[in-house]
Amino acid sequence: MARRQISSGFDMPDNKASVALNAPLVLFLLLTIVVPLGGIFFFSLAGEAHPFANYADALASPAFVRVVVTTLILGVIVSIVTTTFAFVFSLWVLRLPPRAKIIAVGAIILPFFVSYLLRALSWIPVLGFNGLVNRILMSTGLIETPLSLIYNPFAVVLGTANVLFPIAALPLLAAFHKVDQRLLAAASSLGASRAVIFRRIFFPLVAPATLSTTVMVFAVATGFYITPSVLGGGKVLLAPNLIELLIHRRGEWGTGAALTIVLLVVYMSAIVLARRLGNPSRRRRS
Amino acid sequence: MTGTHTRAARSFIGMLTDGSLAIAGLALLCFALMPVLVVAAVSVTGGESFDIPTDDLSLRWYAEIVQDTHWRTAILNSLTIGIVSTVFALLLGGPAAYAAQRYSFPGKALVETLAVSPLVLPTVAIAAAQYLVLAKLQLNGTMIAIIITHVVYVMPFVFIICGLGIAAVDPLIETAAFSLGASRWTAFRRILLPNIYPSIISSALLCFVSSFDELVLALFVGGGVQTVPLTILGELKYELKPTIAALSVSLSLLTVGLAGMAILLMRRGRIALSRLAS
Repeated sequence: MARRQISSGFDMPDNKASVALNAPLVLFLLLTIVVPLGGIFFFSLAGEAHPFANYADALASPAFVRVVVTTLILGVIVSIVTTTFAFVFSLWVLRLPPRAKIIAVGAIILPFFVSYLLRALSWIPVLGFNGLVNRILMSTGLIETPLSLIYNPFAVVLGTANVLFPIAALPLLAAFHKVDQRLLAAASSLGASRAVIFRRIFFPLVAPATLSTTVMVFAVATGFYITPSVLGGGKVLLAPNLIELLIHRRGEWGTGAALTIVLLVVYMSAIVLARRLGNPSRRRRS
Repeated sequence: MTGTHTRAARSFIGMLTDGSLAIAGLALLCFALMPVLVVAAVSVTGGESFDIPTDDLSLRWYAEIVQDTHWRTAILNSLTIGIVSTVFALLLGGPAAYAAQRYSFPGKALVETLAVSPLVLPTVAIAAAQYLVLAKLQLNGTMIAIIITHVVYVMPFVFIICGLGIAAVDPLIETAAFSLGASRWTAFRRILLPNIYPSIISSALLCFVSSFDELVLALFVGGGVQTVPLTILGELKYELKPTIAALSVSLSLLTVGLAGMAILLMRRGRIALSRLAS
């Protein structure tokens, strides 16, 4: 009732108008999102022996299980690394003067203007065989032969953390700025040291947002395709890459569909968890 | 005195943590900006490979973008896909955004969840699902297939940004227009459109850039259609040239320029609106 300020222009009742306005989009999305996702769920259950044959086949294959486990482990590492980076960065930005704050936030938004693919590729001139890091290390005489820094899990973690860094830093910055500075000042005037203020007042206040950000980063990281396929160099196979390989290149739709459903379940549970953690008040009410 | 002693020690530790925090913060800022800096540096290299220039600089890779025929085809394809997808996203997402802001109707929450779902769900899962359906329809490998998937991919930007724009317009202005006998079309054209065109422009811009840069959907359903990201991926397999860095910098500058223009338009729009109010 709050929204019904417009008594519709002509004799068209609200319901008819909203149906007419929504119908094209809803029909289009039914055909392009709901039906395809329903279809992939159907395919995952269309095993030859019994409905769950595709899932059973997948679980029985050590390669398949290894890919899922690698995806989860790398997801956890990426989420911890990214959130730690974003946490330290946000702490620093919190203390900056207002003008510098705007510049720092603007700077971390800048990479959004470069495509995912290019951001992944940009690590090749840095970490590659003849890359910046190897050139510097060789010229200082620290190493004799170039290190292989790229096309391994380390490069995948670094590249993914780099892409997700601003996505983690923005919600953390928002949460840090919501902390009432008077609480910190009061603690300080009562003689608490900075370490104590951080540990007993600041950190407990920002912990829910930090945890929620960590889980969100984990969810997004498990769905990454471009960064691991460029920086893994075919050696680091993650769930999204395996989905592409199975469905697109090999035509093994059954197992591919089962893996897609597994990825979606992991992803959606993490997103729901992140939302819950981010809104503790809602959880208390329910 | 122990009191002043500990206070001195404390402020020393404070300075130390301030210093290390500043160093860590600056290092992380560099880490975040690295891809931008590297791509910009590679784009002006005088060398032949995708590398940070060591001695001579040149702008020839920018010329290469327009001279090389296979890049020209890829850019033309990506432009077409980007523009058509943006137009369809606006036509589908705009009316639904209006309904979501102005009316209450059964299933509203469901429609809203559905409308933002392409932004929330992992692209690979959507791509895999759409690939299966488009394969049944024998549409894979056509530009139409890429456009369909891209309309879905970019539409949430229209739904969200135009929704915010519509929410900022007082519904009473429209009610006034209706009561003065304006038709729905007239009210849309004369009242709503002039007030929300900054949101339309900024969402269109975001749609276009997202489609232009999109790789995963195009990889699944595109078949042999060469878009810019697919051409880059192909080049990655044999030899990476600095052309893609030059192309990326050009596109970024174009986006920043257009976004700057959109912001200016938005400011002017607000001024016009305030004049209307006074």
